[in-house]
Amino acid sequence: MPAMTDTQARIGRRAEGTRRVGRATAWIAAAATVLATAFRIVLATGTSDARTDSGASTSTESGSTADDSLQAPDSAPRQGSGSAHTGSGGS
Amino acid sequence: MTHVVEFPVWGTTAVLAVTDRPVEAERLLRAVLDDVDLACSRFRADSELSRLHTTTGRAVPVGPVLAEALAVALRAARLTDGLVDPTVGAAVRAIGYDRDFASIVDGPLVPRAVPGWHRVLLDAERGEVVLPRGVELDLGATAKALAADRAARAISSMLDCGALVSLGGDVAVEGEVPPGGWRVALADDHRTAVAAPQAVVAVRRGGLATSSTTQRTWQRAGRAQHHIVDPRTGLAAEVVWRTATVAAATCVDANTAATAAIVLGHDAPEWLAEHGLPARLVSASGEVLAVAGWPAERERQVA
Repeated sequence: MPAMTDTQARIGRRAEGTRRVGRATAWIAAAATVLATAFRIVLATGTSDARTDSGASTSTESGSTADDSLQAPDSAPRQGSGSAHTGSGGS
Repeated sequence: MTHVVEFPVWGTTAVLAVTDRPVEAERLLRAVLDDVDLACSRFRADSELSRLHTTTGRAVPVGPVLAEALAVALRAARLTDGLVDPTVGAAVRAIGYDRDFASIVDGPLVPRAVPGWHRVLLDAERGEVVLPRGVELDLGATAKALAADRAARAISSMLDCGALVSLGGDVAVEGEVPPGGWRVALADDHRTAVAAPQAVVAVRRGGLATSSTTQRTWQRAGRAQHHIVDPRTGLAAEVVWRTATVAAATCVDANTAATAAIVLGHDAPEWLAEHGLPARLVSASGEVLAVAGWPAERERQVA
């Protein structure tokens, strides 16, 4: 019976090894899927950033000016009364 | 209480009004003006712009102030479909404005075609520009307004006060507003506006600018000239409006629209209304037209 026990033990160790390899393979496959997904997101983000960076230059334009149109004031001027602080006219 | 200081600059007048700290504010304003002048003047041989004109045809590094002024000028050209074009430099010289205004003399009128703003290549990220041979820049239309915007912003943010900066009538206001708003008198000539206003308006934020065909005029070949060139012809713009005053979110945008209005002539009211830019247009014969919400109640005809 001891011989049977050794054989069964070897079979058992072999089966356990196979299960471990299987679990490891599954983990690797899952990790690869996660990494690939993350990598695609990073790539997509990078592409988006690259498009922005190579588009219309905005970094050196006046801070309060937009790039797509002349900007109207928050509100139109109103009639003023009293002495003026300054004048506007041809110069 | 507001503090007001006035001094001559660039052949015109600078006016600074602040709600506090006038001494430090004037120091900041003068520093901004010095920076812009050294970068953008076409009348100084030692300016960065003058040096750029000697290195055409290849990529040249430019400093941050000139890079910003170029970006602002090219944006103005793009947003006005070329009506406000910085490549009018040679055309302006050709009709006689080839030196500081006080020194202009009469001579023959030989118009020059305007090359077009598309020919200027600016890499704002790298701070490099390529100016093709034969292209001369005149940043006067937008650089003055840019200086007013920069100064008002710097004064307001660094000194924590309200600021009005006017450079020859190109006005930028920022920060705290005095009671009743910042009051700006309007006239054909900014120098006489406060003493003899045609109208007074109050602004609280942003920019206000006036372009006029009645100032900086001279004779060339027996014909009256003014400094606003129509890029489509290379000649002084036809005088439909003698002044155009526009309010916008910034002085740069107000100046851009006011110049475009002079060049557009009869089409200006519709163009301004489409852009939602309040404006006051004075015709060659003195009739006043209020556009896009500009206050008209107490407006009167200009003699």
